This record gives sequence, C-alpha cells and structure tokens, in this order.
Amino acid sequence: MLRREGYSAAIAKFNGPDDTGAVIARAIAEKPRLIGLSVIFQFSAGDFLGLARQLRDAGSDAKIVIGGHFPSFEYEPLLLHHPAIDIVVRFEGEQTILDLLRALDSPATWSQIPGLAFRQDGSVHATPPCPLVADLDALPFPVRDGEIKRHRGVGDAALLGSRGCYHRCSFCSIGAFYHQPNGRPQRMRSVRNVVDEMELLQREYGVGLFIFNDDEFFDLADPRRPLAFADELESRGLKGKMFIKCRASDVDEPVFSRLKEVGLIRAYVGIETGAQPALEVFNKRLTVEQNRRAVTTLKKLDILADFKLLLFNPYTTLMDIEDNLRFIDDLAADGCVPITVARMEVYSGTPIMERLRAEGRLRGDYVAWDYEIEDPAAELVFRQMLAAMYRRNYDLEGLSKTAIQAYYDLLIYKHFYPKKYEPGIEDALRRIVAKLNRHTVGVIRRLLAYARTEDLCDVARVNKLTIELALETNRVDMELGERLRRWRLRLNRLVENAR
Amino acid sequence: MGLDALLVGAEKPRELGIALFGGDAAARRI
Repeated sequence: MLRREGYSAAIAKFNGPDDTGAVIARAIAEKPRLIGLSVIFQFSAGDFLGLARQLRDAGSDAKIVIGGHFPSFEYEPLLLHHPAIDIVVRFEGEQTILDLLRALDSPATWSQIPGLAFRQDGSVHATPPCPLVADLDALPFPVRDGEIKRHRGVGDAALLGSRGCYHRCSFCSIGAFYHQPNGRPQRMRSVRNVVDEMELLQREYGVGLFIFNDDEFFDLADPRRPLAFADELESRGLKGKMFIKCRASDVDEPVFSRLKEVGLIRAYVGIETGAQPALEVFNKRLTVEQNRRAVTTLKKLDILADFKLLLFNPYTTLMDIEDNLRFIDDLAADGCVPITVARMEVYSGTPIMERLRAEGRLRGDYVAWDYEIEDPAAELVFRQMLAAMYRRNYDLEGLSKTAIQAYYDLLIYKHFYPKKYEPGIEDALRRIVAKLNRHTVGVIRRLLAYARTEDLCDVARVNKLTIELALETNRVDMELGERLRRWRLRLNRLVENAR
Repeated sequence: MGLDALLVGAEKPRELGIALFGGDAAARRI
C-alpha cells in the first residue's frame, strides 16, 4: 500500500527479544522516518514495548508507531506509560498510516487523521476510528520480500481471503476489533482476487501450501462462496493444498468434501469447549452437538481437525470440566489431534473483560489481565493443572505443540509425496498422541476427584497431589518426547526417499 | 535519504494453527 503510493517501505521480523539486535541494526542503517510495530498478540506486547525502548536508546529518531488489536484498545495506558511510543494507529491501519506518513512532520495536523492516538499537552488524544476498508480487492497483494519458506521441499505462504468476523464471542478480540469502527465487521475478497494471488504465489514463488489465516474463512452472507472458490481453483488448474480456520457451524459435509477435492487438508475449528454452559459464557451461539458433529465430519473426510479446549473460564464448574473430558474421550482419545487444554485469557476490548470489570473481578493490569474462577474448586483444579502440566500445554517446546508440529510434518509427507506414502507412519503418530491425550484426561480426572470430595484448604495434601501429578506428567512427557523424536527421524528418512 | 517506513511484526508459527498461550497472568501463578 505504501509502496503503491510512492513511499519506500520495508518489513522486518520480530519474533521475540532475540531479533532485537537485527531490527535495531536496520533502523540505524536505513534511518526510517517511521517505525511501525504490529502487535497482534497481547502476550507479545511486552517484547514490542522493550524493542521500542531499545530503538530509542540506540538513537533512532524515527516516529515509533504501534498498532494491532491490543494497542487499538489500550492506547491510553500505552501512550501514558511508554514514552518511546509516539503514536498508536487504532483498528485497520492501511489508510491511517498513509495519512500519517503524509503529515509526519506536522503533529499539529494529526488530530485531523482518523484512527490515531497520540500525546498532546500531557494527555492522550484519540481521533475517531477510520472506517473499515470496504473493498478488500482494492488493496494491493501483500509484499512477500523474502518471506516464502520451504519446508521439506514445499513452499508455503500465509494469506487472507477475508477480514473480520460477524460473531461476538465474549472472549475474542477479533469481534471487538471489527465491530467498533464503521463498516461491515466481515468483508470478503472476491474469489477471483484470492485465486489471482494464489496463482501469483505459485508461479513466482513455487508455493504449494496456502495457509489461510482468515479470522473466519466462511461468509455468513454467502454460503455458496466456498463452492465458487473451489470451482475457480479447478477451472484454473491450480494445484495446491490449504489450511483454513472456521467455526464448528461451518463444517458442512458436502462443502468440505468439495473443498477437500481442491486441496483442503487441515481445518482449525474454534471448538473452544465441550461444555454447553461454557459455550453460553463465550457467546459462541453453538451447541456441543454442533462441535461434536464438526470434529466427526472432518475425521470422516480425513481432513485434520485441529482444535484446542479452553477448559477454564471465569464461570467454570466442575461439571463443565467433566463435560470437556468426555468430549476428549469421545473425539480425541484415538490421537487424531493433540489436545491442548488451557484457560480463557482476558483480552483487552472484549465483552468478557467488561463483564469481569462490572463484577469487580478483573485483576492484573492492561499488560496481563487476570481473574479467579468463581467456583473455588474449579480454580484449584486450574492451578493444579497449571503447575502439573504447564510445559505440556503452554511451552513452545512442550509436547502438545511439538505433537501438532509432527502432524504438520505428517500432512506435508502424506499430501505432497502421496506416491511414496506409508500409512504406518500415521498410525505410529496417532498412538503417541492418543497416549498423550489420555494422560491429560487422566490427570485432570484425578484433580476433579480431589476437588469434589476432599478439603480444598488442606495445603499439604493439595501440594502432595500436585507434585505427584507433575512428576508423573514429566515422566510421560519424557517418554513420549523420545518416541516423538524417533518418529520424526523415521519421517525424515521417508521424506528423503520420496523427494 | 533513508526509508520512509520500517514495519516490524511477528511471524505466525505456521505449524501450530492457533497456539494457546498462558499469558503472563497464568504463568505468574506457578
């Protein structure tokens, strides 16, 4: 967008503090007038704020601008507490950042630019949000400078066929982000425009795997769009594989069967929970039955059904936890996908944050909101689960994440080297993941049993049980981690032979 | 003459689909 308007712009990656040196080196060498920090995930905000400070300390005199979901809502404390940040761009930023570049050296005119927040006379001034981009086709394709990666011989690219979501799930910052500015909360690119970009990616960069990161792949207003998309891919003879993200209610067998024909191999489904009361808390407007049907349909079609479970929310009961364990028993005890269990976190701007605030239960601060579960027994189960299985569920090197990476590798092998595919390798992975899922369920069942019948305040016994389960989890993770390592060596050999 | 804009962002881990993170609040409890 900036380049189209005649500005020079470059992209730098910042995946964490390890990349700080490289970003600073570029900022010093290339002397940008503006440095834009894109903070999509609230958990990484601290890293980005640290980077802003270090850029300033290193002598960069660029205007430092921060944008994304989290800064759009928390612009006020960000500007008040972080002097390195000059400006916040709120909500969709294309037009705002362009207007800002045109007026960068005239701060007196910033108040005329929609979508900005900045300091003025010691307080924070915010202009009204810029309307959402109405016609996504009018935006240029994203710049791909050196971005295409190859993994096991397959080039992959992330892309968006749409923006936003019509739904208002209470915990989700996407719904909040797209409902505040004027404009339709969900907008679709035309099928033709999306397939044009896919064709370009394949032709210019050899991309074979298209990872759709749409907030919600399906168009609530046009159920025929995925079929038109499939027809367009087929008519142009574009051969590739796809990942998408969607809601459980989107998983319709005929539609997904058709999408599979044109390359769909994995769908991330926003299942969130296997307990009906929790679906109500989340305002998902779905039933557990729909969740179950979505997973079953994808399994039947042999499309990887990827989902996680938010086992805990501010109103979780022991019964909800039990319902979730049954959901895992019924749908994932076979190891079809590694189950991560986690707590719903509170994101800025969300309805659940406002609800907790109104109830006087919102803890922590804008960097990391926190809460305690209403039912102390459920809160205890959460704390014990966290202590016993933190690494398994949350750590990037933990087993639930390394296992989903193994599934990614399996899909590459299975779908890009089908002639040399040995099905035994999938069964072997399933066995490892089945054991992982069953163990997770077993640990939480023992925590549930304690919380139901024993004294929640007996610190010595609570700690004893937690330590026992932590040690056991560690043993199981070591064993399964080793099995997964050997599985990966076997897969490496198979892929090498197939290439 | 330097660049007009240097845009800095995180790469999304492609293998993970959607990764759940505990956030600082949950991690602090350990």
